[in-house]
Amino acid sequence: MKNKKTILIAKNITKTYITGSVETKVLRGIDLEINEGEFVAITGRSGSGKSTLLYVLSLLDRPTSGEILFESCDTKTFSEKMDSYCRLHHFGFVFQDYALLPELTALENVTIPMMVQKDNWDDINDMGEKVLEQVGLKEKLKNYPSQLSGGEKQRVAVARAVVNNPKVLFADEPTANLDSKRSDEIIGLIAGLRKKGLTIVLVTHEKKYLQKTDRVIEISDGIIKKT
Amino acid sequence: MKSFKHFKIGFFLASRQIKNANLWVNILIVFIMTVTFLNLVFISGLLEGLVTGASNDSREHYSRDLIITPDENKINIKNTTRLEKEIESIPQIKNYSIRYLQASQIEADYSLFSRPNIEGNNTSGILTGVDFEKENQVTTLEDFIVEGEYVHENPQNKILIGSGLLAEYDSAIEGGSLEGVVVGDKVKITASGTPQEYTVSGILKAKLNQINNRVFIDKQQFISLTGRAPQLSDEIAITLLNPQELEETRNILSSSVKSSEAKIETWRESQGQFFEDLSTTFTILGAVIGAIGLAVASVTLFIVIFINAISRERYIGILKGIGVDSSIIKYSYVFQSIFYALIGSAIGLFLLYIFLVPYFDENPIDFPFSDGILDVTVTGVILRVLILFVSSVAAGFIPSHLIVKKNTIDSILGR
Repeated sequence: MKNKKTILIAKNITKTYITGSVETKVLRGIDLEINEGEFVAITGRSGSGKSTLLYVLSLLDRPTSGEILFESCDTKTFSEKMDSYCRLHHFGFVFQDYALLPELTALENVTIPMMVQKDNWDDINDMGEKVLEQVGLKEKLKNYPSQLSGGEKQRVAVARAVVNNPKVLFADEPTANLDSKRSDEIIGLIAGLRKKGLTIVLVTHEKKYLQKTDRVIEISDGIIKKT
Repeated sequence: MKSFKHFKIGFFLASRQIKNANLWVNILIVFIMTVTFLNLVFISGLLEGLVTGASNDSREHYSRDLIITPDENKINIKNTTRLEKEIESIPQIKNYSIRYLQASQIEADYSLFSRPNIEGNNTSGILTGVDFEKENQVTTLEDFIVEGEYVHENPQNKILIGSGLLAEYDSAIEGGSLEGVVVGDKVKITASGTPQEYTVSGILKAKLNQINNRVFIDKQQFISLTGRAPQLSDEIAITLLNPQELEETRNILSSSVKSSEAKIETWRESQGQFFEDLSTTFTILGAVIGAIGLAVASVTLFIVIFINAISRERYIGILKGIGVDSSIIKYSYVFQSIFYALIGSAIGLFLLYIFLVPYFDENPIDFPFSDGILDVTVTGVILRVLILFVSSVAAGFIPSHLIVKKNTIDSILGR
């Protein structure tokens, strides 16, 4: 690993959900450091807390206690707007079920983050097309999500996640709804992004993809079992 | 700059959502907005139209633009001939009609030589001496003939009688109206103690007491019956060539009017406080009913947008998840509401001005005291469009604000 600068630090993270009188402790004290350019896999059984950890690390959710430091900044002090800014400029996110906006075309889904980020919109369509071309969807720019296959939707999701040149890409079981061939393609696509220096945090329970990563963090019952 | 960009993205998202929304949902929302707009304009317009209709009737068929009447505490207008000459010399005046009024007893089934019998078939009304041709030019009195014919020539012993004095037309005054009197019948009129027999040439029916409760007779016949000096008249109704020149014409006439111990009023002044109070009351009533309609519509729009936002909660979460500012998401919903409100208002305006206003102008609602038209002013319409606009903004903003406030990942995962 050439670059050892730590980009994300989790300190004693806990997350507890309270439903009525039922209290569910999902994360029970996670300590974790992720280096810049590192490809990290978080794995574990269903319900182990791996997705929750990803949401907390990516500022989609707040921990019940503990600290998340992004580039040495304590995110606890971040306002909601600052969280949003971070997600737009520094983080990309690939969801398990694609999370595309159904009323937007593939190209529009990809260009939306750029529209928010950039003041000059002259070249955002070109940039969007270029990214979609890189994920093999040059012919499907004008297609709506309903007109795309599962694999194609996930490619659009990946394109959207990286279009703003984020520092960290979070992927939450991106192959869960895909067949084996499409899953391999998507993981290949994500792994390929590493060459651009992107830090990748992948949640997966499929063992065959773990070997593609630099490090595997196994979670069980809300704590790190092995790293 | 940033806000403008957020507006633009909000607009972009709103346009895509509307474009890809279910057609029937779009139609339903636009329909609700159209009905709301019409409800706002229509109810108040109709209520105000009742008063406006009555006011218009009074102006068109009684006072005209200016009316001269005896001054306070005076019985008649003096020096009528001189005043008439002055009126004729003013170029702004199109035409005028001088009226002589006298309380009178009208009796049917009578003996000509007996005194009026209060137990008999009689009533009291205002005997109005006019030049029939001039009166018709000024107030189009002939338009109100419902039976018989107007008096165009040989006015001797002919009268036009208001329907308010006839039991057949006005059942409200039990025992106070003439019964069984039809066109061609003879009636005895007693004024200033002198009885005279006249033939009913026509029956007048209007929404004005000044027509319904009067008996119209030729001016010379009036003078002959009552012994009134021709110089002493009671009303002079004046029509102007340009109704905008009310004040100018009044000023020209004012000194002559004053010397005739009379006062000159505009049509609006002559209608008095009653009409203004009525108008205010109906405006308030219209506003209250409109406000209820608006509240119902706002709640409906709120529910529609809220359901729309709830059903799209996941997508709102996704937008937040990829870093789209909350304000952009709110703008997108506000723009959607504004779109529906503007389209609804536009369709409402089209229906209003192309169908409803012309229809009610042609077919006024037959109310007892006026012909109800739809009285909509441009200012009123703009105000109502603005009201709808503002309530739409609120109806779009509040639900989206509530959804946007939710935890991002909870929205995405539908928790």
